[in-house]
Formats: sequence, structure tokens, C-alpha cells
Amino acid sequence: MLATGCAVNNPFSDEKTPAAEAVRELAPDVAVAVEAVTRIEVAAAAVAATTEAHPALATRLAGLTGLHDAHLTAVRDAVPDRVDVSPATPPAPVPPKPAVALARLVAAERTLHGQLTALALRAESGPFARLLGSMAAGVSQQLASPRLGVPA
Amino acid sequence: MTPLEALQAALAGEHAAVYCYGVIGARTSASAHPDLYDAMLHGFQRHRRRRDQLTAMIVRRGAEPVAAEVSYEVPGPLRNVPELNNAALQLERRIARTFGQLVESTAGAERRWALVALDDAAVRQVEFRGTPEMFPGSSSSIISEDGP
Repeated sequence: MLATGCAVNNPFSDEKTPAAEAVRELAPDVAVAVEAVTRIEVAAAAVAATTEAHPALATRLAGLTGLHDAHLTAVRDAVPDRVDVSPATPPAPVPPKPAVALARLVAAERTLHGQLTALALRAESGPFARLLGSMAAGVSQQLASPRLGVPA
Repeated sequence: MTPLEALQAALAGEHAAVYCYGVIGARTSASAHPDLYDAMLHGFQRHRRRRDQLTAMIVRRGAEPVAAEVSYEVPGPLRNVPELNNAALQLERRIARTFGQLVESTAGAERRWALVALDDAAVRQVEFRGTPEMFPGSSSSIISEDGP
């Protein structure tokens, strides 16, 4: 008989469970960590795709790349091995005009900021809420940074 | 730290910020450096507003808000524009850590307020020529994208 279901709590399964399914079965703050990693992975993939399409933007986007890497390192350990946090869909095509591509990225980072803030509100652990809040504030700093060069 | 202790610590931080912005702003020339003067003025007004909001939050909890000290030590010398910028930057870094503690110690509406305040303090750091940090407002937030 074939047993089906979520593999996230099954020690005998090597299957990875998509994050969207896994969060239903995880402890509340573990689910928050999974969602945070998923959101940051999406944003990081968008930055990587934009950098690849427009190498001239690489210097301006370096701060965002470093920020996402640092944030993923901080949160990834809280995600169970069997949860698949890779983006469910590939990044949207990068606009051919650099200015448009940058504007789209800024909008995506603003979305990420809102998601991290919402997750900080949901977190049950105080230190974890502080970490998520500081990650959201880090995104705001990048958006305000002259290096990125986004008008206020 | 209890929520009330964190609120009182944040209020104490705002008392200090209001005082220090008054001193730093008084050393900033409105005619020679109008942008910096505006930033100092807005900083003073913003922190005064936050001080009043925190006072109301503490009163709503039925507690006595912590009083301001007679004076505070202003961070660093204030002899030129870079030093004025740096003093305001240090103030915003300190208050961001205080708000980070407030996020950690509270929940619900108070945490939401603290998150907005933390975010704003982080952005002001950039306004005062601070380098973006990986984790502004955390206890280890001095680690910036340029390294520790």
C-alpha cells in the first residue's frame, strides 16, 4: 500500500515537502521561519536574475545580494531539512530596460519588507520577532541607500 | 525584560534623543547647511512625538512614565558637519537597538508600533551617512555590509 501525505514529519521519507504545504504541520515559529526563507529566496532570485540581465547594475545591487545572503544564513537553520524552500515559480522575466528592471526590483523589496514585518508580528518568540524586524529594517536601509540610487 | 520595562527603556531613550537633538540642532547652521538643519529639526520633532506616544502607552498600562534626566551626554564632538552627522547617527543607532528590544519584549499593537519606530530609526541612520547594516536594531547590529 502506498502511503501518501506530508513528509515533513516522517523520519523514514527523503521526500522534500513544498514550503506552502509544510507550514500547516510545523510549530508556529518554525512555520514563520519557513515563510521568511521562502520570501527571501524569491527576492534573492529576482536580484540575481536582474544582475545577470544587467551587469551594469551589479554594483548598485551588491548591497541587496549581501543582505539576502546574511538573512538566509540567519534563518535557514530553523527550517527542517525536508522542507523545500526553493521558489515555487521561476522569477519573472527581467525587463530589458535597466531603469524598469530596477523599479520592479525595488517594488519586490518593498513587498519583502512588508512580509518580514508581518512575520515579525506573528512570531511567538520575542528574539525571533526582533530578528525579523531587524531584517525588515535592513531592507529599508538598502532602499534608502545612495548606493542603490532609488529616489526617495 | 517585561513589556513595561521595555517601554520605559524606550521612553528613557527618547528623552535622551530629544535632548541630544536639541543640542546637535543648535550647533547646526540653518543657512550654511539647510538640508542637515532640516534633518536635525525633523529628528527632534519625530523623537518628541515618539516620546509622547510612549508616555501615553505607559500611562495606559497604569504605570508612571520614567522622567527625563536633567541632561545627557551627547555622542561625540560637534565641531563640524561630519561630527554633527556622526552624533545624530550614533543617536539613531542607540535608539534603534532600544526599539529592537521593544519588538522583542512586546506583542500585538505595541510590537507593531516598535517595528515602525525601528524601521524609521534604521532609515535615519542612512540619512546621517551611516552604512547600511545587515541587522539594524539587533544587539549585534554594528555588523554592516562593509564588515564589522
